[in-house]
Amino acid sequence: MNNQVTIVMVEDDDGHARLIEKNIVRAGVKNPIVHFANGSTALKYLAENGDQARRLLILLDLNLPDMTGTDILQWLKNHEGLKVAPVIVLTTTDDRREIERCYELGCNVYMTKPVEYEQFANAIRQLGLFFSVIQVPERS
Amino acid sequence: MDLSAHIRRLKLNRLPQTTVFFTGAFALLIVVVLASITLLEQNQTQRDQIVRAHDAQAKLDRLLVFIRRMESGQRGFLITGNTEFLDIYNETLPLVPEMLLEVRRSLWETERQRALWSEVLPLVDGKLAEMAETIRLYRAGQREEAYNLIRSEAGLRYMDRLRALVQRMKDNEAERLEAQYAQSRTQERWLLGVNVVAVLLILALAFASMVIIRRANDAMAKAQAVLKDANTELEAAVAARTAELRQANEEIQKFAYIVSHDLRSPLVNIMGFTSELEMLKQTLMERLAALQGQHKNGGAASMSGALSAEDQTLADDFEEALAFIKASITRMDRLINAVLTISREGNRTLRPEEIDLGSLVASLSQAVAHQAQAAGAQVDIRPLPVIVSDRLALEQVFANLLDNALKYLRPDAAGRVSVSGSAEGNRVVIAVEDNGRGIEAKDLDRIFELFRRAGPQDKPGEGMGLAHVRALVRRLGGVINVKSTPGEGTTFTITLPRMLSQAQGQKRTAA
Repeated sequence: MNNQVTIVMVEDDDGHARLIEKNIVRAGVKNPIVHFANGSTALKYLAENGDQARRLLILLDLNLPDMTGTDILQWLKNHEGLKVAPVIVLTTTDDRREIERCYELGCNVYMTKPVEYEQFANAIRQLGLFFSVIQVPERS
Repeated sequence: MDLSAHIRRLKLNRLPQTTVFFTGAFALLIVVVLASITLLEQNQTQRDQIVRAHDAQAKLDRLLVFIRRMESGQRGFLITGNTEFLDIYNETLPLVPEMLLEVRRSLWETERQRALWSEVLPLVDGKLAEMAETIRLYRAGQREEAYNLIRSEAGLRYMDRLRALVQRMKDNEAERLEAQYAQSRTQERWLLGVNVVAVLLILALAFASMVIIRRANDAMAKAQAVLKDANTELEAAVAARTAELRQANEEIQKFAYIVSHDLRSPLVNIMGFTSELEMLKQTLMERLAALQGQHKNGGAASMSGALSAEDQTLADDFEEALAFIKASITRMDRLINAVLTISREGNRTLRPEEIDLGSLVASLSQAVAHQAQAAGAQVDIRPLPVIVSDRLALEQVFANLLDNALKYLRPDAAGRVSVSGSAEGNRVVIAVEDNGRGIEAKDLDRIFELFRRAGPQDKPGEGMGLAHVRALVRRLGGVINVKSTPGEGTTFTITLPRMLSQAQGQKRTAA
């Protein structure tokens, strides 16, 4: 993945954020990672950077203290500049309805965080590998 | 308001007074009827008396007629000497004693009448004797003597006195008639009066009955209205209570869901950082070994060095601690998943459809065929009814029961599991029976509790299967019971409604 792409991680649990970051880095991904622990600061950042030439990839947790991840997802997909940004939902919820709803709203990947750390680490590393091959659309 | 208070207010306890009233009225009516009967009977005797009086008069007249006929026969014979005239005399004469008896019988039993009668008898005898004497004399050829006897007017006097006596007796009978008629009229008036009273009484009774029935009906209608209100209140109370319970249940399920869900998040961290620690430990130990090797080898770095015995113990302790933490987390994760599964099941909308339980259980037993084969057990499916219920829930129920039956068989006996069922009224009863190791009586309740297991813990399991089964059966509106003899086998009996109502199938939460 192009180094121009910034990974925006919205994750209220600092531990999870750290583990995700570690494993992404272990997968060899060198892109900058910006972490937000709540929805409102994340939205603020996204709103400020949404119109810039900077390309974003969003890692989204659904359980946030101030709003739900689906609210952010909805906001993103209604945002003129950001609706093309890939969104990866990474959450503990494996509820079918929740998964369906996220895909309906336009998320690109839905991943459940496994409790088993090896699986977790493996999943994140796979995600990292995935990052290295996917194309993120450029802003016109 | 209290129902009994309502009923008290309706004065239904007036009943004893009503009973007293009716008893009194009916007693009075009976008295009236008895009086009427007595009067009628008296009237009958009066009528008998009247008939007898008439009879007496007629008979007295006939007695006179008899004697006159005899007398005219006697006269004819005496005048003409023709014996044909005597035929009337001879025919009538034997009838006289009978006639006398009859007259006597029909007479009014009074002193006066008896006195007159005692005068009549000698006169009759005298007259008869006079007639007999004249005829005898005539026949004996003593005509003059016979005529003289007649001229003596003895016979005439007899007749005059007899006539006068009979007239007086007839008058007496007429008096008797008059008296009886008068009495009869009085009695008839009484009878009329009594009957009028009876009619009035009946009318009064009918009216009173109507009033009482009406009052009772009113009271009944009021009671029914009160009962209806009470029922409505009760229904409302039940509905409210049910709604509360449902809400409480929903809250518990939501709570269970949120708790289990949110517990996972820290668990990911604990697990993650424990693994990170493990990796750190690995790196640390390697570096320690390298340092030790460097020290021994006089400064030359080497990564292939082994740890000293002390450090190896340290590494092992480290390893052990981490292993316990990881095992506990894995277990905790399984438990949380179990709670999540059950709470999710509670949130699922049931979809009632027609299900042939026979084919449902058959396909489930196919799924556990390899398990049965491994255990050397046989699954026997008897005819099962058709039910309208939720397929997924039923599949989970029977899959769990079959799995349990095959899991807890006795090693010393060939396993046999049978599923049988029948439709009973609007319910369906299905029994899953095995000849496995059985369950101790003290554990029969416990086995349905979440995370609880019974018997030797020699098989893998979380202790959630039966908890899940019971939750499912309850959601389907049914009940599950268990009977077991340790060492012989266990029977689970499930009773389900034949038709799962749409209302029961409604989604219970909007979570």
